[in-house]
Amino acid sequence: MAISEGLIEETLFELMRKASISLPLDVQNALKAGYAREESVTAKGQLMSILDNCRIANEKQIGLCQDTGVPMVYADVGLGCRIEGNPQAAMARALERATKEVPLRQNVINPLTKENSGTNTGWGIPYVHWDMVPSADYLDLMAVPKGFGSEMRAAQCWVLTSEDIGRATVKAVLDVVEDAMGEPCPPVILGIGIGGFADSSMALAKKALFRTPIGTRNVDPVVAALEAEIFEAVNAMELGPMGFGGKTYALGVHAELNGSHTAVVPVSIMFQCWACRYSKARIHNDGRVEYLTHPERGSAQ
Amino acid sequence: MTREYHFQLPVTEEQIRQLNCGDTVYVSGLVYTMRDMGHRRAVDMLARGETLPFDLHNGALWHCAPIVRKTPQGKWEAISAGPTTSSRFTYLGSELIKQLQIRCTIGKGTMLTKAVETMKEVGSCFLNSTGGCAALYAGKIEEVVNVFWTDLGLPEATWVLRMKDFGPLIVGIDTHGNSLFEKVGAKMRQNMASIYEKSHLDPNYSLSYLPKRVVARSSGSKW
Repeated sequence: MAISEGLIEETLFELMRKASISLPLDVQNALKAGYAREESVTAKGQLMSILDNCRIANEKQIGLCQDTGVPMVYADVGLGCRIEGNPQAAMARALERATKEVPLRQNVINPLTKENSGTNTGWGIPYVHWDMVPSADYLDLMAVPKGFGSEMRAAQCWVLTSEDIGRATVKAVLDVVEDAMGEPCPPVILGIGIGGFADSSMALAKKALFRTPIGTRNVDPVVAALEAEIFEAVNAMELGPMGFGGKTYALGVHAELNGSHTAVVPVSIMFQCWACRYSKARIHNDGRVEYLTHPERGSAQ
Repeated sequence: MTREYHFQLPVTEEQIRQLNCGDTVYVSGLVYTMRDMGHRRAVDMLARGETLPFDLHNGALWHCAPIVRKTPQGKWEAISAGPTTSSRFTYLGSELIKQLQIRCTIGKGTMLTKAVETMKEVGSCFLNSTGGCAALYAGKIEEVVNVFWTDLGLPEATWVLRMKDFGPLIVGIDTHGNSLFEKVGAKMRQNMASIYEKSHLDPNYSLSYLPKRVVARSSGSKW
């Protein structure tokens, strides 16, 4: 038994299609709750457009946002499964197909020459974040077409350990939100990585965005308290949906912690726009595929 | 009290000068898309005294790059089309508004002070489309009329879209020097005092960040 290149290609293609067209159910529910919570005509109007948009995308089976991002894949590989061939090449083929058939926007360029490959691949893309799962015999794949309006708002600061890192984290988030306002397409999800290295801290913040269901608290009570405090503070700024004022700026605040150096701690902050698109599947070693976030074809409902 | 307007493009300066921040606008007619590389090319061409291959005078520019596909008959169709972040076009966009009398700039987020000043001077406005609502707005596109500058890559090309009742668009910057984001920002700054107090934070506590400023030149000059 083994997982073939063909199965990886087929599954990732399907994941990219599902992710681009419809939001995971918990994201949809969080947006509906935001609509119910808002009182002003403007804030309700923005969320109404967003909910209408999601319905139309699902009905017509088209991309719900035109920015389908730079292809990124999370791959959690069970050490008990065997993968045949070259999974990275299979993923690139899946993305090329998805670009034509979903379709996706041709976003990927060479940053220096600005040549557009037209396929959403090339120069190291798709970017695959590999993790291992020691006692599993499956491969979990998650496709993430994340828009760059929220990606470009990522920030990182370094805090000396003579400071209170918790307070500094709150201040850092308030700073970046004050600067970003409505640009990253709120209501947003905020991912926070505390500790680790410059790169791993940012990766931690990014992966935290996709914690499900939205608003689930970290198991560490100290981190959970920080999440709750930041969630309340950010919404109290009254920036609201799309930054036109209102109560709903953040749908969720998810923080993660890694061990860090005794001298200085990186704090990384990631934004995810309301169009929090991802789709996840589990490919078992015997070839069975379970679509976890979007069990129905093209729909999370 | 906010009002609702339905405009047929191109529009007149007078039509735009009556708008106030927060008003709702629907536009019909030709809308031109433009993003970063297109802005650079347009400003450079004008600096060399050349004429653009399309007419933006009294027209509408949309900060947008649609997902497009060619039909079997060889005609382009826009599948999904929504706005991109507009602050990026503050300087180059202001240059184009001034030189070409563009009346409506449609996008998301906002454009910064330079654009607010330019719009007041020229008689031009910024209209907010809701970020991410690309399936909704694609339904307002009647036809992809033309495309220019595909050599920049399909997203950076200028797409000429015939729109029908494109909206609701919220007036984000009017011709009176007002910006909706400024207004929300002022309220936010008021709120910060109690937020800082509740979190036991000194508002002057400053952290240093990795450089994250986006670099853009403000004119058509060379590096």
